[in-house]
Amino acid sequence: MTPVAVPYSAVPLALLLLACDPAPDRAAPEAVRGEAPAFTAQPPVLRRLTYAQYQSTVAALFGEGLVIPAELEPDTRVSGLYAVGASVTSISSLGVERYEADAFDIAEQVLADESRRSALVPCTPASTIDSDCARAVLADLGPRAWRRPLESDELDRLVGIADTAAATLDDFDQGLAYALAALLQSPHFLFRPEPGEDDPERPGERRYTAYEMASRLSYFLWNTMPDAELFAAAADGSLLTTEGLAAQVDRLLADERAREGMAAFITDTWMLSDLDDLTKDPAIYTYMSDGLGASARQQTLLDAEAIVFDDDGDFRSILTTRATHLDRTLAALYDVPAPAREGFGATTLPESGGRRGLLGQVSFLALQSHATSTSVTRRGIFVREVLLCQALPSPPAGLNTSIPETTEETPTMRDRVAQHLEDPSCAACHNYMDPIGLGFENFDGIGRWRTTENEVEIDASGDLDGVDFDDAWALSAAIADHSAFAPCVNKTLYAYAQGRVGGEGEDDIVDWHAEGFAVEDYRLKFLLRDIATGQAFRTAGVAE
Amino acid sequence: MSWLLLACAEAPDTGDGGTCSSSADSELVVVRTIELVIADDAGLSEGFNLDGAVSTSGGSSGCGIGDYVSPGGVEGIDNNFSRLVPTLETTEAKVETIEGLIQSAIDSGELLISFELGGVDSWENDECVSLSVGQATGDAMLGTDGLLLDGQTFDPDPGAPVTEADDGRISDGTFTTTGVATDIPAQILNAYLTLPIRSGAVSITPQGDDLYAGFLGGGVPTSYLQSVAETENVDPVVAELLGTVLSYNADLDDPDEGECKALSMTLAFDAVGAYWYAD
Repeated sequence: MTPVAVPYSAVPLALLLLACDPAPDRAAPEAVRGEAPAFTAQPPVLRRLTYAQYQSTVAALFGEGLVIPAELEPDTRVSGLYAVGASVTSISSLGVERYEADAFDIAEQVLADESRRSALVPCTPASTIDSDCARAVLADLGPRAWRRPLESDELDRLVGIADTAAATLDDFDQGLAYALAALLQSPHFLFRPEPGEDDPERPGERRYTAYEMASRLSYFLWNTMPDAELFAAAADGSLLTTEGLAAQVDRLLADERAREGMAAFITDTWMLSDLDDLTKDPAIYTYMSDGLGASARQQTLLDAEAIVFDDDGDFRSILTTRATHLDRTLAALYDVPAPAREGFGATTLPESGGRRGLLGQVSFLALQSHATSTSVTRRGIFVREVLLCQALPSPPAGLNTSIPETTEETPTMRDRVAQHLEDPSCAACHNYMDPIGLGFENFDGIGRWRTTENEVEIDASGDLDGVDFDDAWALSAAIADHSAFAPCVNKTLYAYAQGRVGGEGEDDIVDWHAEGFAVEDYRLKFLLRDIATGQAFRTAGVAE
Repeated sequence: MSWLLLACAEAPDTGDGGTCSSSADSELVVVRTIELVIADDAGLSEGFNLDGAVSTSGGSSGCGIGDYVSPGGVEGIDNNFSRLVPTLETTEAKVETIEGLIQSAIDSGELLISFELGGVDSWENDECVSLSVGQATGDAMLGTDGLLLDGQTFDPDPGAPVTEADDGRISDGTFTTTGVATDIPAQILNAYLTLPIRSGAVSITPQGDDLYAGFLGGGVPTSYLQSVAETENVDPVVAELLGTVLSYNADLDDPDEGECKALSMTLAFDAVGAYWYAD
């Protein structure tokens, strides 16, 4: 269908008119952005479960509390996202061994725990080899683990494994453990195949199957496997209808697990899992502690959750809000009263302080710094690449990109960067990122506020693409208002949902989602729904 | 002078004919290190002129015990505990032991001496600043340097005595006040005890980056120290020695015990900014 072209400039006007109504009836996004434009469906991808998805899926299958070894095949970040890396990575021979060992370990834990075993095994084996009992277990568990109905020969093979191992080991449970391990180390469990099928309603087009859609939705919105209701919607085919899909998406978004799903997106896009390895020189940063990285991640996720789900508010405010969540550790580091004696509490940062939003948090300030100092380059790159989706070239091989050491003539980072940028080969790229990083120099390498460096007052002013700023707060506001920020959120979420970056022929549909995001006051919950129910999310390309 | 102090308690004098009024939030600092101030061989010692007199040895004031002079040249400094140190060093009550116990109490959160300053409009000069001395309680977080981190939030310790002093002022960047009473746990000889510092004085000077340095001086009743020596597990010979030493070194009047019944002491501390929980 041909979309109705609406000038982008009409969007603010529409918002202004809506704002005049004290209780506005929000115009449907299509009234502003028109119908979805045509797009070129991209070939399906084969995504491997990320480590977090592996954990959440095992928990969904067998219950919380199982010990899952941390050393599995590591996730790989591609185009800034593990979600995209999951589509282009395979499994090494070492990874195969780890998945195998882990599968047996999980199977043994499940069968050794009476409550887990009784939930899994609905029958009492009549003998060491009881094919019917093994079949009953695997016929229920198999489709959930592989997230689709099993073919009869697949089920037969699994039952055969259970029987053979039971006969060899002279123990029904040990035989069943082999079958469970086979399920859990299978590519059907570890990967998410989405070849799609011909779409009978759109001749010549392909769509994802109902079960593929169930997994696409649950891993996108919950970061875990489908629940029984979603499987049921796949089984009866309602998930392939527009109405049925919308109903499931609304249900998923209303579920508490949607918060986990959104947290997974935030963790991925802002690299928050790297906080597990946060390292700082303890001789320099006295606030460094073992739990700081985890606290920092929790703060960012709680703030995002509040904006997206509690307030259903403008997502751009994640960069500017003074409302936040702190524990005692972070409150001390930020030099504000702790809102709670135990765990996290909601609080509002002082208006007079310079700390606002994500870019005033340890999860950005410490993570995008070196172990012994700030890094204007890393902070600048994060803003350019992650928040604004602007590609930066890699430094030429062999080029010394390090910032000069502190001297009496160069007491502040601004001084040292200026010296660094005297080299034209450095300046070409660093002029693009370092001035942004200098805007955050009032925060040291762990995120403590400071006004001086080496007893010289810090100048945190600059300009971001023509917008002047005096300090980090003004810079954050400039980034939030930057024409590239909201579209970048949309673009990243689209890539996260699809497991790949937008391909050729998808620019219009990606922009269309961005327009809806703007019309809907930048509510991320709307965007999650918009993408999940969108045609591009349902349409499979032809495998290459 | 006393008239001025009384006036400040009701409607403190600003020195410019007005009365104390301030919308400034109170500022809380918590002590993170503390040590005894020992006079040097030249007779110089930090501290306070607690009795308002400049006493000389054998003179009519200060119980006939000579005062020290501060490094800045201020006369009349009362810190006679300093003179006991050579005697204590011959016993188990070494200065390092006393300071070590105090520091471990701070690090464990058992001794979080709190100074809450009210009405600070300027850290340069402010004629009317109140002080509340008490103790904080809560899990104390230590930095990688082993010291109490600044910016922490605590609860006031409901079991600790609180002293209010309304005669404080800030001059040239340093806050000072008198009339302070607080208790400092310590180990002297084999006895674990709490030193009751009475009629004390406090000075606090910001050092930047939420750090403060200061002094706490006051009189410890000699009867308290004597009773500790007599009742706790202290060698009787040492206890007798202590009694003799105390009787010769008491240099202050004690509000309850009478004339020349208290021993002056000065502690140097550094402190960090902190907060109270809101509820």
